[in-house]
Amino acid sequence: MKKICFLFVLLLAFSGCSRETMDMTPEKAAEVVLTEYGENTGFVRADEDFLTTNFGSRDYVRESAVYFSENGDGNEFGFFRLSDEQYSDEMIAAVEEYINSERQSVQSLASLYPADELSDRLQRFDSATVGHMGDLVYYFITEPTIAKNAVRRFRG
Amino acid sequence: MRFNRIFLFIFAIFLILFPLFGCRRASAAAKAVQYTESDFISELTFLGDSTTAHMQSRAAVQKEQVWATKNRYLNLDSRITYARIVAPDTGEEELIADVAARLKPRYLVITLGIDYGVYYYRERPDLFAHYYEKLVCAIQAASPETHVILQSIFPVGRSCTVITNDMVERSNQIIKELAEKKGLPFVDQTKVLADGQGYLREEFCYSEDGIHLTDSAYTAILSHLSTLEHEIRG
Repeated sequence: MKKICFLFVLLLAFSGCSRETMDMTPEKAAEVVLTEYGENTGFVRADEDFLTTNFGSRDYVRESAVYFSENGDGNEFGFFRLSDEQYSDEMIAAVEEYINSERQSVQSLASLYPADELSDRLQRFDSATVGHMGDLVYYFITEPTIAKNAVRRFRG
Repeated sequence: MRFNRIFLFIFAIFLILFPLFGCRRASAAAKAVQYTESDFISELTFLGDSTTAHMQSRAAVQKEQVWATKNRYLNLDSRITYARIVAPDTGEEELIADVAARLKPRYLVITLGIDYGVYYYRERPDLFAHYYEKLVCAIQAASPETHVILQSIFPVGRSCTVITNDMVERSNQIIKELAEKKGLPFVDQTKVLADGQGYLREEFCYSEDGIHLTDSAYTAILSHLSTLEHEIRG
C-alpha cells in the first residue's frame, strides 16, 4: 500500500512538472527574461522571416519567440517550444549553428574595420548559453549573469 | 607721351577686364558643381551603410538628406528591417520604415551591402537578395509614394584585403535583378568610380581599407546621378 501511495505521489509530481513546462510558452518565458533586463533596455521581437532564415523551417517547432536588443549591443535571447522533447538536441544544434554564424559575421565586420571595437560583442557570443527545459529550447547571447538569473527565474 | 597714354589706357582696360575673366572662370567652376544645388539632387535622400553615412561630411548634400545609423554600419542581414537610423528630423534612433513613413522622401537612393553583406553572403546570394528585398518592401509599405532607387555597391580599391571586386560585381548583379523585378531604377556607379582594372580609382580612395570614398568620389557619384534625372523621373 505504501509503495502504491509513493508511486501515486511520484506520478503526481511528474505530471505537475510536465504541466509546468507545457504552461511555459516561449512568450511567457521571454516576458520573464525581459523583466530581468529591466525597463530601460529596449528589445524587439523578431519576425517570422528572421526565424525561418536563421533557424530553418522546422515542423516540430510549435511556437517561438526571439528578441534582440534595439540598441545594437548584441544582446539577444530566444525560446522554441517543440512538439516533442526528443527534438531538443536537433534544435539546440541549429541554435548553436546560428550563434556560430552570427559570431562569424561580427568577426568579418571586425576584419573590415579593424580599428573599431567589437570585442564586447564577440565575448557575448563566446559566453552564449544554450539549453532546454523539457520541450522548451532556449538560448542567450548576453552577459552570463543575466542568462543565469533568467534561466533560474523561468525555471521557477 | 601719347604712347604712354595709349599704354595706360590699354593697361587700365586690362585691369578692368582681368577680374571679369577671373569671374568667368569662377562661374565655370561653380557650374561644374551646380548639380549639387540642382532641384533633383536636393530631392534625393540617401540610405545606406558607411559609404553613404560619409556623405554627411564629404558630399555636397544637406546632412538631412543622408539617412545613416549612429555608428555608420548598416549590415545587410536578417536584422536589416530592425536597424535603427538617426532620424534627421528628431535626432532619435528609429526604424528605417518608421522614418520613411513619417518623412515620406520623394526619392530614396539605397546603397547597401559593403558592410559585410557582400563578403558574408558571398556563398549565399539567395540570402543577400532576400534581405535586400525585405528592406525595399518594408520601405515601400511604409511610404508607397517614395520612389526607391537602387544604387550599385561601389568598387573597392587595391588595398582592400577582405572584399574583392568580383564579390561586389556579383552582389551588384543581384541588386540589378531585384531592381528589374520590382520595376525600380538601378544606378550603376562602377564605371564612374573604377579604374581600367575595376578597382576604385586611387584618387577616390579615402582610407587604407579601400572601401571608403573621398569628397571627389561623391562629387562624381552625384554628377552621374544628376545625368540620370530624366530617366529616373520618367
